Amino acid sequence: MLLIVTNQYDNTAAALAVQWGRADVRIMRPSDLSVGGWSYRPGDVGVSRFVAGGSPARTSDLSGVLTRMACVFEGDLRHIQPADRAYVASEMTALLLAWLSELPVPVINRPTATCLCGPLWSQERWLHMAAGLGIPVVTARRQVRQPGSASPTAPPQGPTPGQKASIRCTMVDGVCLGAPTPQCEKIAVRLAEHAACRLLSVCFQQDDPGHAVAGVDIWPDITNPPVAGALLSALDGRGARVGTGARR
Amino acid sequence: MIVLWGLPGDRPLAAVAQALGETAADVEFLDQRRTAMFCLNLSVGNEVNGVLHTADRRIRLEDVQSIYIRPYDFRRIPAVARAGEGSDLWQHAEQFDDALLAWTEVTDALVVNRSSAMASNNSKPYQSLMIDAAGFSTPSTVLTNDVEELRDFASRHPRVIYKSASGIRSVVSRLNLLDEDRLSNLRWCPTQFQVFVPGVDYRVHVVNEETFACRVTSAAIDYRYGANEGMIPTLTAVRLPDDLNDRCVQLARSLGLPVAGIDLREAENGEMYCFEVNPSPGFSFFEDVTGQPIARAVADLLTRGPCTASKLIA
Repeated sequence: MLLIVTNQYDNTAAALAVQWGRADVRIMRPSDLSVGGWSYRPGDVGVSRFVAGGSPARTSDLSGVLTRMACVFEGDLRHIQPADRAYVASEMTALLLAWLSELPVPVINRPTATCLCGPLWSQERWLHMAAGLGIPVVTARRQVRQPGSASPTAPPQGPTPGQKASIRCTMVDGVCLGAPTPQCEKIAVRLAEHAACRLLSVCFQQDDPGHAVAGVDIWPDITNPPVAGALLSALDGRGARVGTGARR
Repeated sequence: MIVLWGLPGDRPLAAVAQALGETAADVEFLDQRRTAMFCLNLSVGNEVNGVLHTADRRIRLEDVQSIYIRPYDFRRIPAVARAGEGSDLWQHAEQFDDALLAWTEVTDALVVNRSSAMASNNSKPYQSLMIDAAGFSTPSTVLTNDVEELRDFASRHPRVIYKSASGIRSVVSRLNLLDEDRLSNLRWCPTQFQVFVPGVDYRVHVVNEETFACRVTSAAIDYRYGANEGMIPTLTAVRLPDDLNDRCVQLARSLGLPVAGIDLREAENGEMYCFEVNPSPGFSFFEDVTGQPIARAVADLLTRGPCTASKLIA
């Protein structure tokens, strides 16, 4: 069984499932955590049970997981009393973080302590990592000015792709899609490896003499057919895996 | 320069500020009540640099050797709350916090503690996997929203407690399987249940390579709230055996925390359990009672700066 974990009102997961065209794909949304049948013992994930699409299942039936949810938001929990939503959202996120961390199957992306679907870093942190690897980067700048100042705060989260000619490529489990040059492909592979991240998108800006990294994110368009296909291969264990196995 | 960020009324922060005040260190206290006066320019590329303006000072970020961060949720700062969501001040506070935290993730300065490292505490079962890997015992645990699963778990253990799985603080409580009303609510959210481990509690504050341990004697299930039930805990400074001391230092290091508060319990059979590593410990309570110089140690760590921490923290 392949599992897509996503927020309550995300339509792209369903579109991806249709695109994959397989009967064994299930979508887990926050409301599934309010359906009886969950059982997870930290350190013994193999015997755990979960609920997806409203039905219980065993972790041992899973062959791969795609996570498209940073956390459970209060807005995902309309079935919970408003006063309890913040607490319940935190509790559900806490469970999913541990559970996804130790699943013994491909998980794209494996969660980090700050995000269920991988390294949800600031642009500054991505660029800092890239620069540390000797990769050319476009400097990110942000300014926070006093409230009410003549020129109000303008904090772009890093450089603004699109100002110069920019192009984006997507890394899926070691496979680079859409890189403008072989050099860009190498860069994208290195970034994914160093971030221990199977799925990410890298934005390059044309620079002199080549391309420089302008931004990185973990939210590529998964319904783009080549990306969708590469994800399916990766979750089936047929991808060119980047070293991001289970933490334990 | 050493920067402290938070509210002056925050006791650990105030204690460290006082300790630093007794030295010649150049210290700037970023009082969150004055966030409206702060400006920040941040630039990250091949170099990390920027400038932080307070009401009366211009600070080059490259000159900051250490920062101790204990910021409160900006939405709860009275002036920001009064200004309301979407106000200029609200947006400013949000953007300032975001920018300063972004800097703390990339700077070479010593950061006590980076928010990315602190985040493991937002999921106790997740953190327990790391605690386990560090060689401590963790209590047998199940997270479930299934009453029959819970009954099965409870039938195997004489006493079971429940508590939050997230970083939201909760009072540890004993499970009562006869409370049908509460059990009927279980399905709405998987809840963390744990075997109750009888024994003696220890709180160990790790400051770099130093530890400050105290034994906590209390009849309450959760000593933090024992006073509410007339069970006031007794705190006694103790010295840990060397191997346990080293494991505590290693655990904090493995989590990327130069300063941490580790909750241990020694079971009746001598086995040492670790329940949690608090990445932003309110050590003042323990310092007040035991006299352990924890704030002094944090101040010394900040004064020594990144050389020490870079050696220890990956």
